[in-house]
Amino acid sequence: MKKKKMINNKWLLLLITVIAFACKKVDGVTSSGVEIITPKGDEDYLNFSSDSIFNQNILPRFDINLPQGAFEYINSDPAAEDYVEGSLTYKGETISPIGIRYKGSIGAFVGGVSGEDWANPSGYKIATKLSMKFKIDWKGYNDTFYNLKTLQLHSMNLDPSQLHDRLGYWLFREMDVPAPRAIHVKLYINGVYNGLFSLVEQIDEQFADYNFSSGKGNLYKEVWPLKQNGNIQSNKKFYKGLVTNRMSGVNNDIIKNFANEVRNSSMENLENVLNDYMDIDQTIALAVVDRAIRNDDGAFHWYCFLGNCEPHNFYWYENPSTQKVHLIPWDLDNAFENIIENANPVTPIADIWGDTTNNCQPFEYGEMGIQQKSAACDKIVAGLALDKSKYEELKTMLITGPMSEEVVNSKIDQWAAQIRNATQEAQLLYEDAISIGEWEFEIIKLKSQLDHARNN
Amino acid sequence: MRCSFILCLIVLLRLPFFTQNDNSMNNVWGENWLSSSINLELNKLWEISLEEQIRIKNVNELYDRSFTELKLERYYPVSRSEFNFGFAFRYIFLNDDSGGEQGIEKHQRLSYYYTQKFERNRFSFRYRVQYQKRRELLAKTNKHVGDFRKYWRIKTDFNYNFKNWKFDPKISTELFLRSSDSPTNQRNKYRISIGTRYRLNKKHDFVIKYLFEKQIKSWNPDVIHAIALKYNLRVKRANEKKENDK
Repeated sequence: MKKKKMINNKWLLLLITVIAFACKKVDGVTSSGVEIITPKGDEDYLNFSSDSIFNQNILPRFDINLPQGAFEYINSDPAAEDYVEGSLTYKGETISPIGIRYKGSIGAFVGGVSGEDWANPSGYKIATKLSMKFKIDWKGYNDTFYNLKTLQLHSMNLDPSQLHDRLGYWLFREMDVPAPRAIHVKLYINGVYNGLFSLVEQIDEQFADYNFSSGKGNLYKEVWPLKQNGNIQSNKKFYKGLVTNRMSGVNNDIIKNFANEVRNSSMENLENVLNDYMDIDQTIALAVVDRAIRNDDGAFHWYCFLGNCEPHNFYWYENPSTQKVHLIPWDLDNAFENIIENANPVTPIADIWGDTTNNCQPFEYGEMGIQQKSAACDKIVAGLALDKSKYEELKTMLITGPMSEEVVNSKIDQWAAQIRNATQEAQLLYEDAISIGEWEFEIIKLKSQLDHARNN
Repeated sequence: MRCSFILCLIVLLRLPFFTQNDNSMNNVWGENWLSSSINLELNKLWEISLEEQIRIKNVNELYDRSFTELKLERYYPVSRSEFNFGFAFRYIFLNDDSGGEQGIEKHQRLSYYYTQKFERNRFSFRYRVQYQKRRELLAKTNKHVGDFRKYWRIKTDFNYNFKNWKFDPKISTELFLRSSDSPTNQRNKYRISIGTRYRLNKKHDFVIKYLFEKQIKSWNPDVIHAIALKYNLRVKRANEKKENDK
């Protein structure tokens, strides 16, 4: 009997030992084998602001390193947008671990993954570069990198000029519209040059802190305050679109009150209501730039699918210190394309600013005949479009200021010179990289598009 | 037979323990699940049970979760097999140790399941299909901010009743499939367990089992090794007992 007990105890001991062995963690590395680096505190990335990253005069080089298995894993299905752990090195300083993944909406994966249905991206990676996201505050290991919690690198695969993001956001910001900052960066993955990307500022609490008097407010992604029938947007939609303050006790009072007052106001009183809740000049300036650069895949394109019409590619921010709401533009890779003609088969907006078509019912438009609804059928847009003189005044400011031929072409030339070598380097390495000749042609085309925008 | 079983057990345990390699880099940790339950047979067809469980992690945070579960089950006897429908409500205190806002969260889980059991000689087989929905409990106005996850679970149990042995083994496999509207960070996973129920008498028994759980992804999947210990108290309603005694 005693012997039996001893045998049983041996089995138990063996089991515990094996479990303990299997669960043992190696100090100094994460479970995926990425080194955990504890900063000393005097690193530049902890002590300098985001302005030193979004410096228009530099072309930073980012090096990311990730285990080969992790790289193969994200390459096997980029559209899954799964994070893996890796490290980021910039100017000799390494931050590790961070989260690394591919990113993008439908457009960003077009031609980039093996799946045949472009509307539902799937399959393995086939393009050399795809847009990426680096999460700096990964699982609490690190906090910020030059006061940024997330970095997003856009591949610009649909923008042969490679300047849409940078130029578009710059124009918005020059007109005092809160918009992300953008520059170009060179990206190396595991020591191999991957290509040129646009580094576009993430719209998050760091962005809010940088751009508004209080950065503690709610930020909503792609939630328009009013539904297509004019009613207030549902709480579910507001909270599902919430980017910041995703915690117990949060409320959406400011944007909901705004929506409620707009909904209940008469057309005569609408401008006053908008003025109470918005910086009107700022929002009309946003509309002016948006229409000038034909950002047709943005906040004023109400796409209709199965009877439901709504816009996308925008954020709303509630500033708690002023109790005002701010519209923020997003995703400019398809901007500029439709300035001279409707070159994009999907994105063209039918109406000029403030006009409506088809008695505010959905209608087909563009080469692919996708249904849309006039933006001015929405009461917020209709109210903004009422002040035609302000719109014209700001448009004049734009085309005689930052978008004047002298200013904008000089900016384009400056940035083109900055990225020329990086573009050439990519062309030498990769078959799917844009050629210098094609890129130069696209720069000339962009300048003529801007010229057309100024004069029409 | 018993020796063969123990040999199989060793081989089975070896598989998951030694799968860590550079090609997958499993994120491994251990847990202990301690629970007790009281099961009240209302009559021949209905049973209600109440369970308390605490789960303890062996790495980083000690406390993982604890919960109270109330379960109601309806039994349908048919020839050569039996099947049950059940509903369970679980109130959970969960230690959220990742992301920006960490701490103890309150969650509720609702699950609905169907089981069917077949017996042949000393061997029995049971499968269960369960749908479950877990949601973080927040104020009604901002409940959509909270964490939620949904799973379809398909479980199979194999049991063999050895002669003159109190530790009859039960081997289970279970597949957790995320529903189409689940959050992106929720992964499909599977669980394998092996254990035994030791009956002290008709009313009291203990269950001890080892569980292996792994996410279905090729890189850095979460892997849990857990030892679960459970005490069950089985009670029959007084009049039910009298009827049986007659």
